[in-house]
Amino acid sequence: MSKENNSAPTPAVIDAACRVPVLLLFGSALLWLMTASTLGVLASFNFHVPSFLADCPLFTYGHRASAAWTAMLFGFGGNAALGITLWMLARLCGMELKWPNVAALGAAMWNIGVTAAVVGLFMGDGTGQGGVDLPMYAVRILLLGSGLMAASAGLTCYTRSDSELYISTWHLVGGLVVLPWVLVTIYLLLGVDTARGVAQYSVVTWATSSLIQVWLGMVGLASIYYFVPKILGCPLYSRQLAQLGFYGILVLGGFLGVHLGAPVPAWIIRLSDLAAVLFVLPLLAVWWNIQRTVTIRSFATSSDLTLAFVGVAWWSYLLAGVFTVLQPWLSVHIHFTLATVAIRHLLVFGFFGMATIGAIYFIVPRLVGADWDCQKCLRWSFRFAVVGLLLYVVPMVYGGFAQGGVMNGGEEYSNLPPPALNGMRVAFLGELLMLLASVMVLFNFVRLILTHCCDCCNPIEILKMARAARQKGGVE
Amino acid sequence: MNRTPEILAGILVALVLSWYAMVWTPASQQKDLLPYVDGETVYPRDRAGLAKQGAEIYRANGCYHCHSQQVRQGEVEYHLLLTRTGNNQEALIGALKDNDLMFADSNGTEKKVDEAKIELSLFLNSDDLNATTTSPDKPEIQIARELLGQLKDEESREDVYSLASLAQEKDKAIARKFLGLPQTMEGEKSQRARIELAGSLTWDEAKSKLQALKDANASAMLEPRKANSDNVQTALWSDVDKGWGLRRSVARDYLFDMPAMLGDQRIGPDLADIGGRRTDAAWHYRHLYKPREIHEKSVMPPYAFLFNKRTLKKGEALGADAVTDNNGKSIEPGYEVTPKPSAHALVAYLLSLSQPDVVPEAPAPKQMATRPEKKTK
Repeated sequence: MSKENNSAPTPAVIDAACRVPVLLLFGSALLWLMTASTLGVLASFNFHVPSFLADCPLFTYGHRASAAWTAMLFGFGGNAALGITLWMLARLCGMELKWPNVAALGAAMWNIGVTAAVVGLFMGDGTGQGGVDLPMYAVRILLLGSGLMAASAGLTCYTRSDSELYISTWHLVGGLVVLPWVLVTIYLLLGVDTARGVAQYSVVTWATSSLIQVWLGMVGLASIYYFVPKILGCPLYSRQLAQLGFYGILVLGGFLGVHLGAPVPAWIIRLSDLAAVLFVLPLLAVWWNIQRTVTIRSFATSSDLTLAFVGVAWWSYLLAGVFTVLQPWLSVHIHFTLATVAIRHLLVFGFFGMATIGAIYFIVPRLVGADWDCQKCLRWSFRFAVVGLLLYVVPMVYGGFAQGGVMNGGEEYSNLPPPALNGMRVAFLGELLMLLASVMVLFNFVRLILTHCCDCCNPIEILKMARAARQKGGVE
Repeated sequence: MNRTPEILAGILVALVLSWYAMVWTPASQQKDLLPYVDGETVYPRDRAGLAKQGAEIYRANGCYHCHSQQVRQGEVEYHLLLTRTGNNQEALIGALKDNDLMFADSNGTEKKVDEAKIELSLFLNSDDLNATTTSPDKPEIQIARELLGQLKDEESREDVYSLASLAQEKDKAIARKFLGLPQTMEGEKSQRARIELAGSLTWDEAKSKLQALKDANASAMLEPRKANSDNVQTALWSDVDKGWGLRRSVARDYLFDMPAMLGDQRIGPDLADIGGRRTDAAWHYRHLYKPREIHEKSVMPPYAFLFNKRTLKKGEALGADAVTDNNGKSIEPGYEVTPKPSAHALVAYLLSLSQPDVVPEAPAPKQMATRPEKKTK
């Protein structure tokens, strides 16, 4: 371990050093969130008017759905997760981010990769592999981008001066390992030397589950473990429980998601079901740990917006977790239905997205050096996001169960049954509200950057500021 | 203490578990899976030509977002059917008794019809058959005649003849004469007789009983049927009951699929066996061009960009390739709509999506529901 730093840098210095890559990542994340929400709305509109954009081969429903999901997972999820990872690791390690320019280059590459993926999907280059159907040329760029950022983050962590590793650091390092691992697996086994037959299905299921449950799960939980004690000013209830959750999610996450009746060897289904049941342990660990750290009342009545976002994220995680644990019993009834889409969205937007937006509200003012201009806008974006999430998830889950009932019943099934369609129509309102919330968040972000951070994209200015801050001693 | 290496090692070990089980093992297992070959039957075969191009159209347009390609199936139970008795009377009756299949409560008097059939079939395979003409008073032959007296109808006697499966033409003639069946072979049933020995067996039970019968030189077969079990299993049967496939999909069905587009949504019906249940290409063109022509409330977008459309001159007849409605008229009045090569390819692919009842690991269960969607135009 390096001990060259006798005096640890102040938070302001750390923030200044990671300003460019982190702001670039957060800005891109919010832009992708808006893009993904827009594409999602455009895709869902098909259920009201099936012939919508049907004459345009570029914008088929399949293209829009693929692009929306890729923009959400890799565009929003990827940028936000990496942004939080870089900033939080630097803060927790008490170190200035190493090689910030390399990280910024990585962030740029990552966004080029996501753009290539989304454009490629519209061009019909999707690989057809379910949740990870982005073209292989995009995966190569994403790998390179994430590799550059991981190098910067890893070096920062390795050369840190603090000896104790906070639990969030564990989660962030976990996320940093999972991402390239999954991308390499996708590239090798679904691209270079494609696995045979149904092995592709199990690779896709593993990759999707590892990305959502493990990668985004790790970063989302890192945010929760970081912000809840920090804002409330009390320590986390139990480090051991957090470790149990950490290893539980790492071990079990990749097994989840194989449904009963899938045309794979039976042991894969059994193993997946067993993992789902065991998932109750990390879920309980996360629940009890946060429950004991903060009472429900302080979440709901908190005037701190970050805490409010993180609270919703925590609840979403627990709710999605309950569906995950019940997989062996529910998969027959809800697999192939809208409910699975809703639960996935509950994890990606409800849990990870809300935790991330809360984090962005906390981090960005510290990076820019000025507070948000319009606190009211922030409150409203939170309300829209929460109401939108509820309006989306509840009718979709209801519609999904109704759809599963018809699918598993004796009736003819040639189309979405009416209750499912009605559920989708209500959920469409939810999608619009979430889109509105994402536009408001992006608007706030851009406004803050434009009014207070003219020099933030100039590396020389940043170095100057960092040096000045270090000389002054800096204030958080 | 810098615990980064320990944590990193922990992370790697934790991740490798699921990766090994869900990625590495299935990938290496599937590498060793081969197509099923039985005589001239080879299944599956790789797609070629138009169908292969069609798979690309299906993939490129993201059709897998709305359609799955996997048929689920619930638990089955096995029924054990005897098809040939062979010639070892002692061994077969012993095996049937030992496995609680038959002859358990026979006390030498009146036998059940199936038991009589089996005993008669064994008699036809014994040396006593020739004695029916030379020394008809032998006690064995008297017993056989008594048993024959229990089989009133000709069909039962045909069953006995079928179960005996005699090889020699001479023996066949004697047997038919003894059974009182017409000598001409035209009346011989093409369908082999099957005597149900047991039902509702689990796989392990069925396997051991089948082996015991084989050891006694008899032939038997297993017939899978829908089991009466819990709700979850009933729900799993819905795909087969709807006629979406003859049987459950198995790993072998996807051996040559690159990519394997199993799908995880059913906005529309499952397509694993669409080529098996919808063999009419014209129906597919009509459906692709105007889904609401088939299902009034379909939410499937029309794929009109896969077709050419031109105005028909007055009195001009439709081309042979034109897409028509259910009455044979143009699907767009006043226009001629013809499929582009991409539509031809896509339909060829859809027609190639078929999971026939040939793989031994998933024989099609009996008691099928009526097939396909009836309410369509």
